[in-house]
Formats: sequence, C-alpha cells, structure tokens
Amino acid sequence: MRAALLTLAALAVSAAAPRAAHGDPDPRRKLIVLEYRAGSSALAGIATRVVTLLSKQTSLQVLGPDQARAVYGDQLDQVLVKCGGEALCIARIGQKIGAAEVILVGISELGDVILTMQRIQVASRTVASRVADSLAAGAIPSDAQIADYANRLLPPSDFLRFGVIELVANLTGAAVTVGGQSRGLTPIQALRLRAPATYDIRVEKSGYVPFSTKVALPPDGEIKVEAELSRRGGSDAWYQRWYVLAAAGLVVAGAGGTAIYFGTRDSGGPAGDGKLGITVIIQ
Amino acid sequence: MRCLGVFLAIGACGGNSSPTGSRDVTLTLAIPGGTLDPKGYTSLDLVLHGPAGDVWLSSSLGKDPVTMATGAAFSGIDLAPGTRVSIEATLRNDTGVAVGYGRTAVDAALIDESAIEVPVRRPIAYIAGAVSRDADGRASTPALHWTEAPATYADLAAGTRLDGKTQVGLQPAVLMIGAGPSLYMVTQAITDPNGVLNGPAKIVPISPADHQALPALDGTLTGAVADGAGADDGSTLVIATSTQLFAIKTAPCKPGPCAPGAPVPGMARPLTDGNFARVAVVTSPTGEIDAIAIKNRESPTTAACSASELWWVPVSPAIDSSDPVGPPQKVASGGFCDIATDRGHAYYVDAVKGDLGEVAIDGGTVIARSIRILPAIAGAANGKPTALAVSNGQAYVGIESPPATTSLLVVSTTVSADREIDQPRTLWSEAARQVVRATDFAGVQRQLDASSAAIDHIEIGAGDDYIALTTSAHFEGEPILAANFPGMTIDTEELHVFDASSGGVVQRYRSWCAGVLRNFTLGDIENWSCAAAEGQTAAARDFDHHINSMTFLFGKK
Repeated sequence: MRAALLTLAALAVSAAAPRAAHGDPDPRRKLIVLEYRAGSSALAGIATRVVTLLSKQTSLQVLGPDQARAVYGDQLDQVLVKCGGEALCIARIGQKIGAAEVILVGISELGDVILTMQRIQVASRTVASRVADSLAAGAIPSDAQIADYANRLLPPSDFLRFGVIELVANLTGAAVTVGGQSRGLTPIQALRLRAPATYDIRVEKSGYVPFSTKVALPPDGEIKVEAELSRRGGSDAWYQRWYVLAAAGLVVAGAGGTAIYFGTRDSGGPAGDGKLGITVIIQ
Repeated sequence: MRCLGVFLAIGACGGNSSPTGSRDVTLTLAIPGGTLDPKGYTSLDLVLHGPAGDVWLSSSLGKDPVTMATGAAFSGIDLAPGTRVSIEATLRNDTGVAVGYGRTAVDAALIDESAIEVPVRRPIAYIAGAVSRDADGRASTPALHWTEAPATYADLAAGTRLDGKTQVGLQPAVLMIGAGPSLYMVTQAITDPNGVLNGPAKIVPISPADHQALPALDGTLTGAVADGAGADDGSTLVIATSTQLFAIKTAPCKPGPCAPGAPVPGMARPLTDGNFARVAVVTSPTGEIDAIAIKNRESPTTAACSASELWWVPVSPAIDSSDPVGPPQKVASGGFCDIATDRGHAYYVDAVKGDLGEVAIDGGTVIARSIRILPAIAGAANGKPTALAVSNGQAYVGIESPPATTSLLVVSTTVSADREIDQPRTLWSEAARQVVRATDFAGVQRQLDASSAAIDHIEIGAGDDYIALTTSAHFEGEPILAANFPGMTIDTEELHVFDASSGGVVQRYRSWCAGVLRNFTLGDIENWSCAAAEGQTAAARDFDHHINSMTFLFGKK
C-alpha cells in the first residue's frame, strides 16, 4: 500500500520550494551545471543541453560539467557521487569553483526515467528551487521542455537580457526614435534595451537631414551610435544654441545638478518655431 | 505659472513666450500623499494620444535645485496649439518597472501656459470575494458555511509575493471597483449556506493614499452585486446586480447645489432592470458617460454566455451639455461573454460566434459589429472567448479550450492588411493542474488534471505594463482504491499577473483551493492539502477567499 502511494507521488511533477521573496539575484552570477546519475544511462548529454540553453537565454556565467571538472580536478565525479545529491555537499563543490549557484541535474530510473534539477545556492547551502519530471523510457525532452524546466528553476529576472545603445548626436533637441518608439530629444541617456534584437534608429530635427541606421544589439553588449545631422542650409545664431542657454542657466542658479532639465529641454530650434513644451512636476 | 528653476527662469517664466518661441504646458502628476504613493521612480514616460497619432516622450527625472520639486521637461513637440490629447503618464524605477501610472479622464487642450493635472497611482491589483468553509469539519461531506472576507491586493510596484495578508482594511468586501484614480468597495450580506449575496449593498470609498475606508455613500443597491465599473475621473460608478443596473454619482455637484433633476451624489440611480453580470464604462472625449453591459450571462437552462444580451445604457451627458441622456437599449442577443472599453470605444467577445466585436453607432442606431473571428488556440478548434480587456488598440482575450486549457490571446482591435501586424499572439496558455498532498503521509501526493477551466476577468494595469487575469478551475479525481485515494472534487481560483512586454509572470497567486472527498471508504486518506506549483504562491491559512472581482486603479477592462 505504502509503496503504491510513493510510486504515485514519484510520478507526479513535483512542486518545489518557493523562490526568494525579496530581490532578484545578480543576473551575471557564476553558475555551474553538474550531472548526477543514479545508475542510469538515459538522457545522455542532458546537462550540456541545459548549459547551452542557459548560455543562450541568460547573462549568467554558466560552466558545464567539463569546465567545472577542469577547475575542480578529476576527482569531481567521485565527490559528486559521494554527495548523493545532498545540497550541503554540492554547495561545497560550488564554493570551491567560485560559483554562486549549482544546478544539479539528476537522472534515475524507476520504471520511467526520473529527471530532477535542483538549484542549490552556494552561500546558504540550500535548495532554492527544484523541478522533477518523469519521462517515458526512451523519451528525450525537447528544447522547449528544457526551457520550461529552466524557467521554473531560475527567477524570471535571469531571462531578461539587455544591451545598451548610447546615442550621441551633434545636435541637441533632435527627436530620437528607436524601434519605432520615441525616446525623447537629444541629448539622451544611454538606452537599456531588450537584447538580442535589431533596432531601427532615427534622429531627426527640423531643418536638418535626418540620420537613420539599424543596429543589431547583442545581449550584454554596448553599441555607441554617433548621429551626425547636417544642416539643410544656414546655421544657428550663437544665442540659439543649447549650450549657451545651459551655461546661462547655471549662472542664474549658481549650482549644478540640473542635468535633466538641460538634458531634455530643446532650446536649439529656430526662434518662434511655435512647438510645444511640457514641464512635468510630481506633487 | 510656477517656475521650476534654472531653465524655466530663462525660458517659460520669462514672459508669455520662451526665447525659442515654444509654448509651454505644465503637467502636474498628482500623487495621493500617503503610504501608497508611488516610490522609487527615476524616469517618466508620457504618451500624448492626439487626433493625428500618438507622441511618445521619455525622460529621466531630475530635481529642481530651487524648489526641490521632482520633474522633467520636454520640448519641440510638434502639435498644433489647442490640440486636444489624452495623456498617459508612467513613472518607472531604475529597472524600468512601472511604479506609478495615471491618465487624463477626458481629452485636454494643449494651450500655452495651461496647467493639466494627472493623478498618478501605484499599480495595485485588488481582488475580492467570499469564503466557503467546510461546515462540519469533515472533508467527506459537502456542507459549506459561507462567510465574507476583506479584499486583498497585490502591490506590483513592491513585487512582494502574495499570501493574502495584504488586506484593504478589515471590512468584508464583495466587490472592488477601480474608477480611474479612485477606489470603491461594495459590501453586501451573504446567505448561508448557499452563498447568495442579498440585502442592500453599500458603496464605501477607499482612500487611495492609505486604503482607509471612508464613510459609505448614502445610496444602496438591490439584487446580488455582480460587477462594477467606473468613469476615469472617478465621478461615476455603474454597478450590475442580479436585478438591475445602477449608476452612482460619487462626486459632489459643481459649482454649488445640484441642478433640479440631476443625479444626487451618493445615491444609486436604477438605469434598467434585468440580471446583469458584466458592465464597463465608456467615456467619450467630450465627457459623455455610457455603460455597456451583459444581461443574462448566466442562464438557468443553457450554458453560460449562450443566450445573453448586450446592452447600451447612456449614463450622463457630455460636460457642458444639458441634453437628457437617451434610453437604455438592447444592442443584440447572442453569445456575449465579456465587454471592455478603451479610449471611447466599447468592445465585446461572443463565445458562440467566437469573435471580437465593437459596439458602434450606425445611422443613429447602436449596433454590434464583428471585427474578427478569433483563431483556434493551441490546436483546439472549439475554444471560446470568455473574457476581454482592451488597451490602446490591443485586445486581450481569454480563451477557454476544452477540456481545461486557458489561453490569453493578444490581437489588434483593427484589422490590418499586413499579415505580420495582424497576426494574433498567444501570450500565455496552460492546462490547469493541481497537486494535492496527503498531509499525514509525507511524500504522498496526487496530480489532478482539471475537467474545466476558465478565465473569468482580465484587466490591464499601469497603461499597458501589466496584464492581470483571474482563472477558475474544477477538478474531479476518481477514487484509486489501491492507493486509498478517495474521489475528490476540488475548485481553485487564481490571480495571474504578466509583464505585458515580455509575457513574464509577475505574480501567480492561488487565492482559493478547496473541495470535498467523494466515495470515501474506511481507510481512505482523509486529510489533503493543495500544494503550490513552481512559481505560485498561495493564500496563508484563513486568508484565502474566492475571486468575485479584480480591478486596478486606472485599470482597463
């Protein structure tokens, strides 16, 4: 009777400990993926597939079993077997390799192939989350399934990847559009955007030839775009130029720290252009 | 006009026009001034919805060195003087998370030197509902004892995991209504043991600053309260009950006493009779307020949403208009299952036709006009739309596919010839499952696949940043004699909140999981508890409740 109950329990996809309630971990932390087999040869290369997926979809520094072995030494596999999946012991391996977390991929067979993944935090030596699934003999989890496991194992913040586009223009007050979305007027702060992605960038200002380009932003990459807008004809009077007004403003206020007002306010247009300004106050 | 330090000392405050000749409008983002103020904001997104399209503006926030006011300034905006726009403002923190959001209730004219105020509120999702406990302490008997509970909320800006302990006061609520920047709670008695709401319902304004309950409005409602919605300026509520549709003017008459015949503030005004289950409020750019409602959504003889009626109910005339409002009118009969409004437009989903449509005026007659047939979801050709929210031209449709898969589809409210733009996206799809654990036997658990599941409510929060939906699922587990598992009937109710841009899960909270054991025989395992799935949180003991309503301040549904 008891055995029957335990079998039913083992076949269910297990729930796991809830994730940390407060604060997301460093999305660039070092994480190692280790593989532990309890007498099963099923799912060959599963840990490597996890490593490949995490390397593609996160900014984590992911080390696979081979890289971990190179750092730890050849005795890694023996130590891993001795650990028997116990979190405290696995955390010690992670500590020696300098990782913040260890994902232990376990494969065992109980009729079906039981695949477990534990995310062990090295500092606290505890299991932060756990995923288990039972697979029919011979079944191989798809990439989507592995991605699903990873999504349930790691916090959502690990899967948000960004790159930075720094846009520098030779004019202030030029309207910047990135990916079809207005981003304000130059000078603008560096833009932190989802990556990998390709963005169309357009910088335009009345009286100038618009600048447009397309950039492929890699995850964790930083791209500097220098937008040179040339005058269609004529030139600014000195008193219309942004930096003159900014300097005058500093004289009036006698203090700095107002970069945002200078940084977003366009003063470079022709006098009497009649365009709208909006001043926003939070009260 | 209030001067804002360095730049404005030279520019806008120097006279009627700045040195550049640009025109200035002051936009005040008004936060309530309490513990629920938006916090941690470092940047601002503004969207100006104008007649010729949208203008998107974004800036970091800075402090004025003289007044120490936090703000930003934009210029070079290419809009003609006097252009009327609706404005959306989103405050974000360093990681881009929306921590405050607000919008104008009606279109505002961008006139030089004018001042516009936009109230801004923290993105908080509120849920409310009753509690049905085991009446006799035995899980094997179906007797229930119905009680009520305070509404609970998810503060999305704080990002804390829900356990039901964040409550709106101590007073039990059957319904929460977000009306633009204002929050209202509806209270009503519940009948035990059948759980039917009865008696007069009261409306209690809730302070958006600290969730304190304010004195209840004078008016009362009859019939079991089912749904509510409010105008974006918080001045008007429309509430659906099992017997009537009511309008309540919440703001005092201005200026001075109310005109003869005008709605009395605080009093409930019946609009039309009938069993109404869903209502949404549509405000025209000129301030005219109308309601769109679904009558007979639940049918005693046929399936839900199979023989319902769509109603158009004028509530109040345009600002500065003294014309009387027209009579309520039935727009159509059909499979209307949910309704939504967005910037002066009203939409519906029809579960029988499987389409998304718009309520439109054709030759002076209000009609239901189909926009598009919704596609099959996850290969299930017989999926049907049961819930809807619309924001900025994007319709979020909840699809129920037998036996128990629920999906959230995003589709444009306008049909485009560009197939890529026109392609609907599935934001989320899931077959409902629940693991139950034998509390007396460690490691013994049972996974149940739902026999039915539905998306009940969808609402868009903080502009288009958050999509919240509630689901309910029903599970029937047959007895397993060999394992001493009795038969089980379990119902669950969940709140899901997604990040609209990535589809990532922001909150997944199970507010309710309870049931009864069937075919119980001696020796069967009697004590079971519902397990939380990966990424899911559940209500703490005695903080669980059903989800009868879900709303955001400045939500769109």
